[in-house]
Amino acid sequence: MLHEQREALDEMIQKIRSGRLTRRSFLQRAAVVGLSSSAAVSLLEACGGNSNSQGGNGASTSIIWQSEQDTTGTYKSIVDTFNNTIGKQKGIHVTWDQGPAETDTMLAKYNTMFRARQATYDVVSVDIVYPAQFASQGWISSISDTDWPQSERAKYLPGPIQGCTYQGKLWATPYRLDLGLLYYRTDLISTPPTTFDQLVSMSKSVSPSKVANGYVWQGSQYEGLVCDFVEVLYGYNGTILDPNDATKVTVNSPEALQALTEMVSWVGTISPSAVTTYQEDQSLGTWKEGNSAFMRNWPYAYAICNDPTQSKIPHKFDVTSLPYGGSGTAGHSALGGWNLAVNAYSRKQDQSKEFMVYMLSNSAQMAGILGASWTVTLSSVYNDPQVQAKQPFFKKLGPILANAKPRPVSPKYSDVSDVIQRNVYGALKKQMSPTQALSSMASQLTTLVS
Amino acid sequence: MSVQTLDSTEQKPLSWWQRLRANGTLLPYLLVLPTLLLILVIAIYPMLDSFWISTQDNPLIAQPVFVGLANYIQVLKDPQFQGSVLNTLIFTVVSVFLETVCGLGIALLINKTFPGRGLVRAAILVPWAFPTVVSAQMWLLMYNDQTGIITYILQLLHLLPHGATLLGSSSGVIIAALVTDVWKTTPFMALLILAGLQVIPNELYEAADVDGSTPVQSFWRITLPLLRDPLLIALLFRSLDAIRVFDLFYIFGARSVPSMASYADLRLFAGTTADFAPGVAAAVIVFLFALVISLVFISMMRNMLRQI
Repeated sequence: MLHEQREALDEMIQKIRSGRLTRRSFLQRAAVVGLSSSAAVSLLEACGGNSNSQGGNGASTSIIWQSEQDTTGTYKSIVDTFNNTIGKQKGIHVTWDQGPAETDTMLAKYNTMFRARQATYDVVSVDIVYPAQFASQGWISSISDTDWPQSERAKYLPGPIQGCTYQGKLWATPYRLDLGLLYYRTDLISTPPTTFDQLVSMSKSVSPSKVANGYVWQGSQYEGLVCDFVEVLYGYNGTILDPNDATKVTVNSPEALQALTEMVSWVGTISPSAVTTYQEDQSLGTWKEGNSAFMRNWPYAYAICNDPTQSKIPHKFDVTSLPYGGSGTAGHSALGGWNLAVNAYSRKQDQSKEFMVYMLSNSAQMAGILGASWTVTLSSVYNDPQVQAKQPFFKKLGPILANAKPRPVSPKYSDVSDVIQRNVYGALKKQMSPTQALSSMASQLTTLVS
Repeated sequence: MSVQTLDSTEQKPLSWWQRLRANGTLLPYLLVLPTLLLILVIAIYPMLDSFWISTQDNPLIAQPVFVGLANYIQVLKDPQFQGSVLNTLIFTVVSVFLETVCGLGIALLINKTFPGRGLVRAAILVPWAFPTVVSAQMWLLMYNDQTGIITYILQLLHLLPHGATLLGSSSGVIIAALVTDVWKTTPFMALLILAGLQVIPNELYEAADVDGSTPVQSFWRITLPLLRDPLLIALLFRSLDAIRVFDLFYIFGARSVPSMASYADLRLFAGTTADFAPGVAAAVIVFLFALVISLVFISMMRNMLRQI
C-alpha cells in the first residue's frame, strides 16, 4: 500500500461519516484503492459511520498492518477474528496488508516510509534484527509495562524478547520465530551428528559414493550468511560482541578462528563450491532433489520436503539441532523471526498497541501454529495436545528452541551485518585467510559499535 | 563541403554578443527560454540537489551537517566500490565492443533483400523487448549450479569444475552479465546500424562496382565512413546504458559483485540512515562517469552536430 492509498482510505472514512459518500461509492472507491471486497465491507461496517450518519454502522478507528509475506491466509483470518471480537468491543478495525517476499525489499520499503515520516502503516512486522535499528532512529514506539506487563512477558520464549530489546526497553512484540535446523537424511544417516567433526566424517562416508553432496547451507553474501556464520561461531563458544557490553567486539578470538576455518574447509569438499552462491531456496532445491545428505535451513522447509509433489525425499529425513565443536557443548540456532512494532508517526498509538497485544494472545498464537505451522512465541502452546497431535514436528523443536540465540543486537545492524557478510564471504572464497578475515572484521566492527 | 569551408574562413564567426546585436532583437532567445527553464527545473535542479545532498552527513535528520567531500572519500576508499568501478568499466568496454561488432554483422545481413526479411527484422528484436530484470532471472536459472543448462555444458567441457557455477567468481559474474547483455542488446545495436545503412545511396556502390572495387573495398571505403555518424550515436547510447548497468549485477552479483549503480542502490536503500548520503555520492559518481562519456562522444560528433 502506498501513502496515497492510505490517505484516500482515511478520507473515505471521514466522508462517509459526515454523510458525503454513499455505501456504494465507498465500496467502489475501496476497490480502486486495492482493498479486497471482503476487507472493504469489513472496513465499512466497522468504521464507516457514527451515531448520526446513515452510511455505515460503526465508528471504530481504522488501523492498517503490514505483515511479512503470508501465503497461507492465516494472518487474514486472525485479523478477521480480531475485528469481530475484541476489535468490535473496543472500537478498533484492522486492515491487513500483504508484505513483499524478500526481507531486503521490505526493509527498503520501511526505510522509505519512515524516512518520509509517514504513517502509511500503523503496525508493521519487522525482522528480529531491525527493532534496535528502527528504535535508534525514533521510528517505532517503545512498549511500556502497562502495554504489556512484565509478568506476561515471562510466558514467552526469551530469545526473541531479547532480540527486540534495545537500551533496556522493548520495541517490538515477538509473534513468531525462525530458527536454523540441521536436516539429515534418515535413509543415509542412522544417528545424526552432534559435533561438526562428526558432520564432516559422516558427509565424507556417504558422499560422493551414495549422494552427490554432503552438506548444503547458505554461503552467498547476504543476510543468511550471517545466520549460518553465527551458528557455527556460537557452536564453538565464540561471540561477535561481548554479551554484557555491546560496544566491545569479541570476534577476533581463537574460538572464532576455529569456527571460520571449519566453515572454509567445507567449501569444495563436503559442500559443492557453488555453495557460496546459495541462499535458502538453492540449498532447498539441491536437498529436496535428494542430492545432499545434510542441509541447514529454517523450519519452512520441513513441510515442503514432506510433500511428494515437490520433493523426492518425503519422510526420508528428520531434523536435529545444529552441531557444535571445539570447547562448545551445545549447538545453537540463529533466531530469525517476525515481530510487531508500532509506527511512531501513527496517531493511533493506543489502538495499534491493543492489536499488537492481541497478536500475543493464546488464540492468535494458536491460530498461527495450527494454521500455518509457525513457531510462535508463547511457550505454553507447544504443550497443547492439539498442537502435538497435528504437528509432531514441534516436539523436536523444544530443546532446539531453548538453545537458540539472536544475532548481535545493534542500532546499526545493517552495517554490522554487511561487515560480517563481506569478511566471512571473503574467507569462504579464499580471497583472504580466516585470520585476516577475523581481524579485519573486528577492526571494522569496532569503528561501527564503539 | 568545400564551399562551406570557404565561407567560414572568409567570415570570422561572430561572438554571441555580436549576434545578439546583429539580430537586433531578443525574440529568438525569448522563444527558447521556456525550453531552457524546463531543462533547468527537470534536469539541472535535481542534479545540483543530489550533489548538495551528497555533501551532507545525514540529509534525513532535521539538522544535517555539511561535510564537504567526506562521503565521496568514504565511498572511493571502500574496496567494494573500487571493485564495482572495475567491474562496470570492464563490462562497459567489452559489452559495447561485442554488441557493435555483432550488431554490424547482423545489420549487414538483414540489409540485403531476401524473402521474409520483415519477419526476421521484427523477430530479432524479441530479446530486446524483455525487461532486463526478467531476462536476468531467466539466465539466472540457466546459470544455476544444479539444474542450469549453461553450467551443465560448461562442466561437460571441463571449463568449470564439478559442483561450481559461473556465478561463483567475480570474473564469472562479469562474463555471465556480458553474455546476457550481448544476447539482449545486440538487436538494438543492429537496428540502429541498419537505419544508418539504409540511407547510404545505392549509386555509390554501383559506381564503385563499375570502377572494379571488391565488396571488401566497398565496405571499408564506402560503408564504414558513411556509417560513422550513426555508429557514434549508437555507441553513445550503448556506452551510457552500459556504464549505468544495474539489473544484471543486481541479480547475478547481488552484494558480492555489484556494479556502480547496484552498489549505490544497496547503500541508499538497504543500509542504515547513515548510509544514505554515501549512497547518493556513489550515484553522483555514476552520473559523472556518464557525463564524461557523453562529452567524449559529443566532441567526436561535433562536425555532425554543426551540419544539423
